[in-house]
Amino acid sequence: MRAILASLLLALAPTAAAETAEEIMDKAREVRQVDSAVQRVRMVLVSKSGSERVREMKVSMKRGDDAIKSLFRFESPSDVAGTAFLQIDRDEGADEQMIYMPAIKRTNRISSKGRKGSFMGSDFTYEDLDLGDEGDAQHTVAEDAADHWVVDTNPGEESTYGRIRSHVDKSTYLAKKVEFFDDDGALIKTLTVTETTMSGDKHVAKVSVMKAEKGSATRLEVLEQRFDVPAEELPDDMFTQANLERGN
Amino acid sequence: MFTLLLASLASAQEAGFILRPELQVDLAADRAGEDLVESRTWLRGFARGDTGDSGRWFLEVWGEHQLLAGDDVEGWWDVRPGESGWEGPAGPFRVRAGHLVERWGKLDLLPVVDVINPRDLRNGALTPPEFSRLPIPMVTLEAGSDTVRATTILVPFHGVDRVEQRGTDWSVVRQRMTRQFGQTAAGCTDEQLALELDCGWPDGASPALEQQIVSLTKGLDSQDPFLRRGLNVALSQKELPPGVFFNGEIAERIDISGPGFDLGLMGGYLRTNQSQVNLDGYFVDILRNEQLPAATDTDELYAATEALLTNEWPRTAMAGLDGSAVAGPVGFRWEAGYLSHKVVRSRYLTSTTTPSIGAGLGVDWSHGTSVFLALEGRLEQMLDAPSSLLLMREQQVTLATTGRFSLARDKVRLAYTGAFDVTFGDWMVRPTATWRPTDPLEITLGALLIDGPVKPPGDLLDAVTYSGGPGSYFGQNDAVTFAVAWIR
Repeated sequence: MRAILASLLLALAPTAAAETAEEIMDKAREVRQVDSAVQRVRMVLVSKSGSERVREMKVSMKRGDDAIKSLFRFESPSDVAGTAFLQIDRDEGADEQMIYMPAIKRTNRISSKGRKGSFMGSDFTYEDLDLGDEGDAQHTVAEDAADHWVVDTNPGEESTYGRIRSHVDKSTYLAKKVEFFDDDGALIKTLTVTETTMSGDKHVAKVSVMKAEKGSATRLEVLEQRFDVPAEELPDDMFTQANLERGN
Repeated sequence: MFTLLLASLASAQEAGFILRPELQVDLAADRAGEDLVESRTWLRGFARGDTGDSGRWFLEVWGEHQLLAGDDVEGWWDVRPGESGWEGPAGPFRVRAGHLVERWGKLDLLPVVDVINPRDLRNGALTPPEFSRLPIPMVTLEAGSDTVRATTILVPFHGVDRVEQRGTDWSVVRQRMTRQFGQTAAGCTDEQLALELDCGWPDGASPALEQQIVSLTKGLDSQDPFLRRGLNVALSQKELPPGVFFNGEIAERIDISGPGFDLGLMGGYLRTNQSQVNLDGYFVDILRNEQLPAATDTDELYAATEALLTNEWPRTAMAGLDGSAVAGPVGFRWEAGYLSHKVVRSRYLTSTTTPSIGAGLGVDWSHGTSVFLALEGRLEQMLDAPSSLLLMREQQVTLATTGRFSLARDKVRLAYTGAFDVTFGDWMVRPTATWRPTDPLEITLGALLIDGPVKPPGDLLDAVTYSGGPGSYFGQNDAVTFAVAWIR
């Protein structure tokens, strides 16, 4: 289960009968898929004591022939404005993640091991930003309730997580709650969609919260969003290292 | 400039500023005349907006206030444009035009090929990284595909490094050095110098010259900081070629990127950002002997004075490459370059150029944005070095490291930067601890420790014949720093 954009791009799909865990998760992934999107998102970091830090970013995403490309660009506060993160999730071959730091005007490539750490001080990791194929993830239905399924996912050895438990709504295929466990089975954090809204014909998450067991939380609020953005607004060269460094 | 920035806010999609006063206190008074308390306030205001058709404008203003308290208290403001201009498509090109920074190379601490923009060297290791490269007028034209692209860089007006040549802790000629030299040469006591009295000129020397030297020594010693800086700027830009296009610079960069790697090839026909300065040989002898000319030498003296200090701004051809890749848990960065004419300083305020090569490698390890550790190494080799280099060696090897640790959801950040010059045995460490209690407020406590095996220069003669490296030279500039940033 991929968290951040998944939670932001949740979309309503017609109800369909799904029996196996793979079918449920495929459907959940399918309904949140869009060909392109532009969003402005507020990320609120809430400390254990309740104090808040606010960061705003613009997220652009595009599905290409062989990869999903996404660009996160921080707009505030001023000391992180211009910091940008590019992710290319290839259908085949290695994914790429790189971050541009305007203060030193340099792009850092992020190794696969480095993806397990926190993203910009939040409760999300780089791994949570990955929109690509879930690789060798294994799904099993843990519970078949009246209105939702509980699906356990073993994300594979490369993942930070030992197990991911998704509560998938039967009518919308929205994963309204996702719990992340470590290799020992201890709960690390929980992602909850707390508010949804309609955008065109899509039913999307407006506010979602990742709450860590250690007491902190990160709230994502979608301020604006557009789906199926015209191709000229998201040209291919927007999702390149060169553009990352140009600051668009 | 601030008015322009404010006027632009109405149409800006993004705007903000950072005001960051920093107090720098030297806890050890180990040199007469040094500035024990300094404050540097940095202001960076910016605004950005779209111009349609995928273009955008960007405007940045840098403000700086410095206050130095040593023998006397000096303070001044400096406001200048930061990176400002327009960027967008024009026919087959992606164009950037304005007052720009073009960074080359992948090493942060030990650059080899980052040669386009001049540097701000006035505050040594205490200059914030975002202010270290000076934007200059520039146009870049970029064309190509996602995987291969070429960028042409045109610099119509040559830029020069900002250096305080005299009178500060980070200048080569420190506070009181010119006074001490003039006083020694003229044989004056403090009182004689203060009253411009006859100092008892060395045997056979000219009384008129003595009076001039005494007046000049006193004048240089008591210069208003504005005048001193103005003189520094005038000297540092002396004989700068006129700002016409055929004196400009041109460079080309080709970038190739693929899964998990990028590679850059670059070349240019540039002008060095530091001048090739030469003191006339007659005065070199005066410096070397610490003895003023005899009265009978008047003609030679006047002839030499006409060419006292000459500045040349040599052209240099440059070629280089850089790249980065990830392998397993670590990232690798590298760069290598060749300069046909690198300006190198020699003893007694003379300099020359030499072909030189350099190469550097960096290794990173990160854990999200919470932990970042990097180690860099660099080898520089002059191919035709003069025999009496100042503050540099024919072959120089340097190691550097940096680390950042983010705790408590970025509320606390611990960071360090360290460098060790293997050739000279110099070292420098800059640790900082930052606390961000609220979004708009950031408090940083830090230190600068710098030292080397050679004793720092005691007087002007020591300074112009120094045998150690930069770490030794500036080894008395240890400081504790305290900064408060207001971020909006």
